[in-house]
Amino acid sequence: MNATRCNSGFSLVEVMCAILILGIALAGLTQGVTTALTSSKESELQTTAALYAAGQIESLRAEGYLSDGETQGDCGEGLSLYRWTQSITSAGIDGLHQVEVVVENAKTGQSIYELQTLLFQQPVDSSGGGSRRPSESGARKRGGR
Amino acid sequence: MKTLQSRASFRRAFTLIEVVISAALMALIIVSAYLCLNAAVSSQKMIEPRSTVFQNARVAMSLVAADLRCACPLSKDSAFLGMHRMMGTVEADNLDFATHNYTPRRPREGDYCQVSLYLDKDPESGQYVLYRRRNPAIALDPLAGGTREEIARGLLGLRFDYYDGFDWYESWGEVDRRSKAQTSRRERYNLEGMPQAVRITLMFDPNPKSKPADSSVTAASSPSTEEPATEPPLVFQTVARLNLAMAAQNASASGSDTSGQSATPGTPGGSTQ
Repeated sequence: MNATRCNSGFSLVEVMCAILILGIALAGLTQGVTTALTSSKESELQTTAALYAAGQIESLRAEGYLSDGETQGDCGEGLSLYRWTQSITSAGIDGLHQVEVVVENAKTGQSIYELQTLLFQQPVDSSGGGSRRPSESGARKRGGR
Repeated sequence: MKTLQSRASFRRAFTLIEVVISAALMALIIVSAYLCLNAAVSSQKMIEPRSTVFQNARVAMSLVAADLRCACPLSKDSAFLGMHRMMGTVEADNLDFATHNYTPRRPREGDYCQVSLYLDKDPESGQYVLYRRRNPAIALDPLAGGTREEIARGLLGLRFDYYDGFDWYESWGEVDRRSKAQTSRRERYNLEGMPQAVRITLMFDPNPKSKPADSSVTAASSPSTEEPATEPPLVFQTVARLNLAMAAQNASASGSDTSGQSATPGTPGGSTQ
């Protein structure tokens, strides 16, 4: 009688412990899948944002004219998820500017990608202003011909 | 007999209830594990073509941008030709230019080749493919010849915008040259010369595998036309600055008074003739 009661089955505590361990393991597994999904989504966002930020800096170089300050804008059609902020600050040396482009999520405002670079532009009053805005002078020349 | 039974109950096996409960628990474990793994596998199936699309887009973008960064004038008549056109509902811009981004492979080739970028429909799969035509030889017609290669497939649009230092234009260069250009040249900057920068926009199909079936369904029934609208194309956009545009412009401006294409660094092809 005594012996049969001793191995009569699992107690409630044992079963609960087993289910708890099982639950933790399964939660971990699901967590892993979710993390993989979110990080892949994040990498997609970053790919697009990195291309856009690089393009933003290149169009700034093509413009050939830097004015200190902060500008914001949308990324245009098809990229409504993104918003860019671009800040140009003087970097100490005359004519050298620090440019920072931040692409952020338009809905949450969370920063997705940041890109920084230094751009040099001939100071305005140093050399007669002849080559101050190279692209502008080029465009004017083309228009005048 | 009684002693035998008591001994049997003393070292008995599992009862039926125990077996059933353990089987049920085991089934619970297996089912939940299966659900987890199934979710993982299906999400992997969903992500894999997408990541391929992203990889393709990155490669295509860097190829196009690398060519454009070293762009130089194409010929004497048209330095840089960008045409805006549509193929059905798909934006499929054309671009013709010349680039120094070329490694010579055969004799009589320089680091110069004529490049065309265009979208075309693949007759087999019905997908739009981005092609690049390259011709390293100096051809009479700068818009033909050479070999074409596939850069990316599964596109839903290709757009180029051109920046002249002030504004962005949808097209560049005189497509029908020498017609109305003489009068309007003073107002419109985008008719000749080189742009300062080009904005490249690639639109990709998010799941290229389902596209052929989808198009056949849309031919059969109209309700499924909503499906492409629910999933917008993946848009990639960047700007490539034409680093050699200024050099080409200065050279052609100074060289236009003389006999033309002799010493311009922008047209090294002219000197090999």
